[in-house]
Amino acid sequence: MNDEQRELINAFNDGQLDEKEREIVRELLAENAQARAYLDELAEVDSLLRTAFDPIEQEPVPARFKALLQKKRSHAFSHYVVPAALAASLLLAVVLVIRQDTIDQQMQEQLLQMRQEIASLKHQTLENTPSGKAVSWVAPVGQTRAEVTPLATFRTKDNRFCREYEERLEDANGVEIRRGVACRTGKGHWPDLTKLPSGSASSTAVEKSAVVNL
Amino acid sequence: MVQPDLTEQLIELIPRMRRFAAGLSGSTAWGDDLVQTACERLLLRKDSLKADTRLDSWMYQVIRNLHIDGIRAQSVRDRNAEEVKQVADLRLVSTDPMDSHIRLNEVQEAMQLLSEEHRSALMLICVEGLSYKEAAEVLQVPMGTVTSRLVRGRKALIDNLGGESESGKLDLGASK
Repeated sequence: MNDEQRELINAFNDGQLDEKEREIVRELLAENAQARAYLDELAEVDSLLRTAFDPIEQEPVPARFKALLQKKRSHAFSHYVVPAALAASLLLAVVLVIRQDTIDQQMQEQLLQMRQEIASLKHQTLENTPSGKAVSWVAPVGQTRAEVTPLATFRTKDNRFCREYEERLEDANGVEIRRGVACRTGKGHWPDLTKLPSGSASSTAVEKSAVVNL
Repeated sequence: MVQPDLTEQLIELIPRMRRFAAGLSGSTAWGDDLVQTACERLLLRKDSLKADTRLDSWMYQVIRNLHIDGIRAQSVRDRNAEEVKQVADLRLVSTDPMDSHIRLNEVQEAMQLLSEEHRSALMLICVEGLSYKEAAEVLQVPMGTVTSRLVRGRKALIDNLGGESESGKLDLGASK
């Protein structure tokens, strides 16, 4: 076999010949065992090469390429992507603010309700409970707990019925103990003495020394 | 050549490019770095590509040039030697050892003993299935040169695999 015949057999193997050239190779193969063996070798080495390298082509595309190409793609569409992302984050912020508002509102309502409950507790306790006995109230949710203890009862010179009391408030932030004086203005209604108009409060306080403990 | 679907075309080409680059470089890790660098170049210069440029031809060509230049992606330069050694161990062993008398990593080793010119011609034509004409465009040499490299490359590979060319005694596989 000469070089030209080898090239022809290679091209025959690779499907690069036209029909006329293929016929020439077929004749060569028919009469030349060495040519047949050579063609077999070519086919065999090709088969080995494909078997060796095709598994790489069968592998899924590694993440590094997907990351690379998708990053570039998002670059290309950045005009759309960025405002969309911005809008999304703004929307999220608005939602969060609304959510925060809702939470605040709920907490405010709960707090207000607790204050009313505690105020009610105080009024009821001062109305019905003898001095030295504690009455407590526990919030239905959370850790808030209130306790009111009337300490002393007295009548002012102007014939008002007043009670000194201790209020103990306990919540997640700790314990707060407060003492106050409340005077009855009606059934079950005991506003704090300090909340009275300053003039009358001071005069009442001054007159306290003259009260008679009941 | 601004193609909105360029990245999609490129994604589809990746498997073939990885196979080609692994064959050229002798390792999938090296090959992947070549492919990645080629992708980055393509994306950088996509506007300067001619409309009639075949994407696969362009990629084959750039991968080969990068390989010849010994340019590797930064990621691998930064890897430690142990990792490089580890990935250099190709996953080319046949799942069924009875498939061939020659272990497939021996094919890989035999390929690496060839000259780059022979190896690239074999990869493009025997593995990638390019026509002589297409291979000539990628390699930027006349078709006659491609044919010559292919014939010599195949002979050299057969020799490296331990056979005696043209003798018919090459024991490349009992299945044939």
